[in-house]
Amino acid sequence: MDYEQFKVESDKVFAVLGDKDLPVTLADDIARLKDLAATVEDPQDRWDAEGDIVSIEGILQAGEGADEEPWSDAMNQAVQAHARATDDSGTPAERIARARAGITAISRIADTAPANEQAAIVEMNESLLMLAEALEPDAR
Amino acid sequence: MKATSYQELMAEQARAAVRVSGAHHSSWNGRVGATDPKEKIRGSVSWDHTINYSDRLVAAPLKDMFENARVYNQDADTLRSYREAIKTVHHENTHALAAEGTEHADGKAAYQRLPEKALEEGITEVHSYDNLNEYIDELGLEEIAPGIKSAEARGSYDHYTPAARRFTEGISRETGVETSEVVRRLAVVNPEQKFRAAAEMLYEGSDLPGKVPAQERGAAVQRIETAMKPPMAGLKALGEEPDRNTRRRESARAGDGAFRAGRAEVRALSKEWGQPAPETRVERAVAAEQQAGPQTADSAKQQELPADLATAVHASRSGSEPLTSASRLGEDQMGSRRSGSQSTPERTPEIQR
Repeated sequence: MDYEQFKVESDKVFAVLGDKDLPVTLADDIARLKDLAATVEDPQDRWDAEGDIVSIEGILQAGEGADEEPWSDAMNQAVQAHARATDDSGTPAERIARARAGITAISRIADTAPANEQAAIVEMNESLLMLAEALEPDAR
Repeated sequence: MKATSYQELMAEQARAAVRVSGAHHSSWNGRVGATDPKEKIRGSVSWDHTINYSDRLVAAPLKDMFENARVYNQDADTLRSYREAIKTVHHENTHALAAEGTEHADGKAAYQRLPEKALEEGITEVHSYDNLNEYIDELGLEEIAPGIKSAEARGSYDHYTPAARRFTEGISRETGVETSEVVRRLAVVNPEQKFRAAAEMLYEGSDLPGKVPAQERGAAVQRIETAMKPPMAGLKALGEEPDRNTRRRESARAGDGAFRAGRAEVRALSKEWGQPAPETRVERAVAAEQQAGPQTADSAKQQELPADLATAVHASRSGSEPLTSASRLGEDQMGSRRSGSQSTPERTPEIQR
């Protein structure tokens, strides 16, 4: 087997990693990929195949990080508000307005958050301000 | 220098960040401003290189910390407010780090694009969070506020940091450079240069230096850099993802996709520039065998390569001497970026005013 053949199989696993409900067969799928990777003949190709498995496991681990440090729903809402406020579509004026609105929304959300989450929530306003100022032609 | 007052802390903030990171210099212009009191913004770096802090959320706790210097057994909430404030200071000063001949504001246009902005914030947060206690040590703040190093201060940018971590872990596996060192190298350059610095690491860690003529290096690095950006744009969809676990996986997938796109471009370039000499192929096979371990935390696995073998492997793959910073760190260098024993220009601390 070469890497391209392996990649056809690994791409199927990568594709489901963004699903909310991971397939119950995922552990078996990864075990199968490990077996396949061991059959890749060229050392460079095998290195890449094994790297894909490391990637898959690393992505799953990133999701598990959510369980290790749980957050209130306020933080969850703030992250979503930030992601929306950084949407890069539209004119600079529209983007500035979106970023400024995001600052307002995140500030309001922070007021509802537990005390130990408020700083991490408000911290995200920094990048919205920097974005808005970067988009203003005379910001410098 | 240890800070014994708020004024000293402000004066020393950038130099301490340079020492912790080994950056060439800080772009900070020496001015400290205040964020708009009508808005909840803890800190920011203006594009004229002024650093701004919220009087209420950052400056006040820090002034309080110095007024209560050396008071033991402070309550957890108070210590948390101090640590959160100094975390903001470190984050903003990490943004201001820059490479020789460049400034933070050179990345102003890049910061308007999502892949570059996400990588800038993700890397800045990971570096400033992971090295916060070192920054506190540089400023002598544990003596001022006993307990600040073990106080709580939660990380931010939960939708960007998984991408930044997976991106740098992938580069680490591919290059043999420790993940923390990959993060550091990206933290010390401006937003416009972060993907390029990553592309250069992948290039230098591959067999390309032994194949690609020197005059073609820039174009090859450019191709790797260009390939890595589109997957990071996948972060745009995260605004609609309400489930945190799924969102963190999506973020990690975007960062990982960026790394693997870069790796694929390296492989394509390698094919385009022909096969390596037969003796190099043999040594590369040995290298791959040595580095291939169980599919777990691979970067740690690579560190098991003896230093001389790692050097030989790199030389055989690239046809050039390994990067100084890719060498194994001695125990005394682990976790420290202080400039004392470093000799590369990048590690010469300097505040450019």
